[in-house]
Amino acid sequence: MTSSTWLLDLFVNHVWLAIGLWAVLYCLDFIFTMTSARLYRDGAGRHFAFSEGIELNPIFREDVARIRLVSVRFLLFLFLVSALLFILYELTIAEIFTLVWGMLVGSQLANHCRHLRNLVVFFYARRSAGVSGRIQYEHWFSLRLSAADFFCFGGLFLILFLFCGNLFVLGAGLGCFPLALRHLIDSIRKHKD
Amino acid sequence: MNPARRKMLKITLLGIMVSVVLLIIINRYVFSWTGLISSAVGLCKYKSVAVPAENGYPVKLSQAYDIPQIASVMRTNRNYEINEHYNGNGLAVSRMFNGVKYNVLLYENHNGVTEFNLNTYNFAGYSSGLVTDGERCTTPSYALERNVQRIIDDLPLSDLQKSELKQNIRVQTTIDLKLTF
Repeated sequence: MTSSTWLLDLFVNHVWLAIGLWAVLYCLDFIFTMTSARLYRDGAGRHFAFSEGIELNPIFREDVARIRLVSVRFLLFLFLVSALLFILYELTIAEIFTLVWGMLVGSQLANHCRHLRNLVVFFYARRSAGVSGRIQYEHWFSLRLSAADFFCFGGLFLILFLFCGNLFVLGAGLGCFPLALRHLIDSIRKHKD
Repeated sequence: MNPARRKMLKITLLGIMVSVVLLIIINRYVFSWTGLISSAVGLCKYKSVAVPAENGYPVKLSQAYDIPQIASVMRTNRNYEINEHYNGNGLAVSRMFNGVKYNVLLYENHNGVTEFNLNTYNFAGYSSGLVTDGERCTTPSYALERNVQRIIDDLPLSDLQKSELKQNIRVQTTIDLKLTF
């Protein structure tokens, strides 16, 4: 019988596959963000207004606002996180690698769910299909919604971990909470200003 | 941003990237600084070799291996110690590299499939008095992989068989955690 963790074993035993999967998810994150920014600029902005743009991460806000095809910051992060993953693999402690890889992949999966939902909303809003009127989102409110989403995903992954006891799923849960906390703290700060 | 500052930023970023690549290469081929750090924080007792299976289990091989023939050929090579494994259905090919015993284990299971395993056990006992030991944590992973590859290269096998065995070499760290509750 095939092991129930054969897919996880495949990635954990082949570091380039593991890094490759994360890199693909990270690149897709960038592509989805830029596509959302384009849809927002091309008409979705008539229905939804974001006071400080659609990007929540201050590091990439300028790149997204200008809809840059190539971002040096993005490439630098891609390289540094890939290198970090490889160094962790070289520690030759599979448990640590699985946990950290789970954190990175899990938070990306949660991020992609948010992206896909936003893309669908912006796609229809661009043509005013099924949407009317205009909603203004303050930046602190966008951050708070994002924090709520990541808390939900983190909780979901942690409940799954209790059922399957897999380090990858635990990592996915632990990866979502720092993002949720950071967005919550930023949201509180912004709301005070 | 002015051009001079932009240029300096580019050089800094390039420097960081080159340094990271160099650190990775040094870690893998020359000196394992990650092993040094992990041993300092109690995350490494010694480094050993294994196959990609959990809890020391062997991996099943897809090709057929003539274990008695391998045993008879390897017994003529003085560098190796050959022992029977699992009531004569298997074989342990062992060789010492700088005081560490590398064991390549091949055995046929009850379905007639050859299974493969690796370890650095020494039943004669290491200097620490233990059977289980291995390379220092600072030994680069490539050195351990190369030692096993040398053993596999000396086995009387086809290129395909050698390649299958080499694909299953993994370096693993034994954790030295002393937790008190």
